[in-house]
Amino acid sequence: MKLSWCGPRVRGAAVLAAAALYFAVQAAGVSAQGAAAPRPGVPRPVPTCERCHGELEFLRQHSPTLDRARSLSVSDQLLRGSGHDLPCAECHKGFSAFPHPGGTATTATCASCHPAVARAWDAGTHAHVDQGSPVGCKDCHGVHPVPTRAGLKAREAIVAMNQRCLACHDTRRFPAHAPHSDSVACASCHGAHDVRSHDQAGSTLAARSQITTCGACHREEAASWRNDIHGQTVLGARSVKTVAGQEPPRPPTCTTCHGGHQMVHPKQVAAGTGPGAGCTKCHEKYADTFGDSYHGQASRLGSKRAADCTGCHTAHSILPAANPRSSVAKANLVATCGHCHPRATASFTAFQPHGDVHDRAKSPLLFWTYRLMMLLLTGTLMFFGVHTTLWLARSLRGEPAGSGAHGGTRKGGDA
Amino acid sequence: MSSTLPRPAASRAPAVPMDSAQRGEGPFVWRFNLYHRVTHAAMIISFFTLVTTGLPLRFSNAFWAPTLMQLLGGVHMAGLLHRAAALVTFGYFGAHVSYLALALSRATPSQRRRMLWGPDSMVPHPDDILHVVQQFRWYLGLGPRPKFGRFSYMEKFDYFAVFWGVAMIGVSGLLLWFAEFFGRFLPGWVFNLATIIHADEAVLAAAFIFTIHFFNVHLRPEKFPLDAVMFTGRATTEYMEEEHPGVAGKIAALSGRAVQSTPLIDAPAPPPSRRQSLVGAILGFLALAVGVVLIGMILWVALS
Repeated sequence: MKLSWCGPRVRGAAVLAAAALYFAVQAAGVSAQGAAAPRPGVPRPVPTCERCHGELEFLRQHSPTLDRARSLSVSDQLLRGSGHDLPCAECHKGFSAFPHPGGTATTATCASCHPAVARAWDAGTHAHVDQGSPVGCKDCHGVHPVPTRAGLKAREAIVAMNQRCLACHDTRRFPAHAPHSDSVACASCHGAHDVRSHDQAGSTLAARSQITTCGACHREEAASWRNDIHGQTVLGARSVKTVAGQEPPRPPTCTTCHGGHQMVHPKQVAAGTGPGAGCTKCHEKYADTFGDSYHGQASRLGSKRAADCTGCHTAHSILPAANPRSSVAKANLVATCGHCHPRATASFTAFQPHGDVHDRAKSPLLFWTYRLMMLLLTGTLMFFGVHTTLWLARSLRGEPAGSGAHGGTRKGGDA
Repeated sequence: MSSTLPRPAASRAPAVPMDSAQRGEGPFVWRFNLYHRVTHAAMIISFFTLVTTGLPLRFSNAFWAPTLMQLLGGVHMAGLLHRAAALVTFGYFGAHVSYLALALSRATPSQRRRMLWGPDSMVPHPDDILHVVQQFRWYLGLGPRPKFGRFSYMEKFDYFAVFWGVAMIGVSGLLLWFAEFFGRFLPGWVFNLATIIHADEAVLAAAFIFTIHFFNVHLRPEKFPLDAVMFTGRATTEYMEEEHPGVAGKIAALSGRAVQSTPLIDAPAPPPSRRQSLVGAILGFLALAVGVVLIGMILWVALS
């Protein structure tokens, strides 16, 4: 935090003078009242410090600004129970002497007690921002009442920390009431100290790291995903099918389907934008055939009951039908369909959720039924289309000018 | 006002009724009884509901599909409406089969013969083929209009198309409605076939009704803009001579009988009241308008 009101030397002199004056007045007061009663419950030998630094009114009178006075105002109560419930001199080593020596050089840095955190910080993006780091320890952790580890998890602490991040990253704000909004700290996903861009090596949000980062809270999903076809591919246990001349597909990670800052609760996704919409990006053909089925049509129009892709294939345990552990393996179909169709039988599951009416080789029955229906449709409409068009032409032709709307053909020679 | 067409300023002819069944000379006769009209109204209501709730699914990629689905109250609500309308369809269909059975069993042998064969019958007849040929010859100016009986071949087609449609769409719809039940003894790919048949037969039905039926019955110049005979139940004898010359003479021979206020087929009928005409016109135009919007939506997808 910068102090621009004066140089350290002037500042030190002012404080010194003020403190000397104050002590003189206090000493007079103490001697007048007799011995000062010791305050109960004070665990550390700070009464000396608190005598001045616990009196905001005094500090205010002897500080050039109110902010300065506030920053100097540290009471025992403020520190008690905080992460730094320590004697003042632990950090402010040179300040035991009075009058205080000038400057702040003798104040310990955070790194002197937290060297591992400091090293992580130095490796992260924030330590390397061109014009010097715009943020430091204090911005998230505060100064005197440093929150404890548990305190950092409190909702108010999270909101306050996120506000600091959003002060610079204001376009990354979560929509109100979105999942994670105000309940998860930016640092939980992006890393607290070694914050890196998601495309940088070692980022907490790199494709392979997401399972650990997201999985810290979403344990079950992460455990399933480890054996899922997408998870296996991302983690390198399976190779990606590549087509020559094409960029290899990037298997989906957590954020591919769930989004990052635009995350929506899976049950609240708008029609046509749900997990299914994400699957269609790669599985285009399956999306088309699914879209022709009732399941696809209804879920496209916003039905929350109709099965979407994940309804049958699951979200985090997707496996090919040939794998006996797959939800769509033949032996598991009755159970899978049974989620929505509790009385499903083995013969019921012969339904083809991806039946393709255009695939003559794979589903000839659907192909020919569709062809027949199209023939019936176009045949009927074409015959009557001609019938109607000719009728219209004849009626318009047969209508002598000036006759009534009905009289023309009726009284004409044709009828 | 709403039952008349604006007439040409120069003409001194009386106002032309909007309902083409009320145009022309002669007293009114009953063409349809209350049962026919109620059945047809039930068909309109259920068919429009079925098409409106099914169309966004069939064309779920169309830009209008999510909006329409939202207007209907979502996929689930549309499904409920669709099934309710299906029940209405099965209801009028079952009632009609019972009606036919009852009418045939109560008829005298000669009445039964007339119901099953000849110019009064709905049953297809070799004359219908002749009429198709004559109709096309008339289009080309090669001959006079065919002399249709009580039901022209187009009306017979419409009538039997409902049987075909209910069989195809109804059976496939029941398969999909009770898929788990049928899945016990039918292989699941039957539901793939049922989906194709249900959807495409329905598109055919909707496209047919909203273009061909609308034109044949309402929009062709002779009848434009509306033929409300199915709503009011009655038409002028001139209308019958024009549209059903095969039976018109026989009906005219009965014109000496007393006017029947209850609908007795072929008996002289009182002219429809202003209110009846108005209701007929509103129903007819509403159905026409909704149908035109729906066919527009189908065409939008088909042409894009």
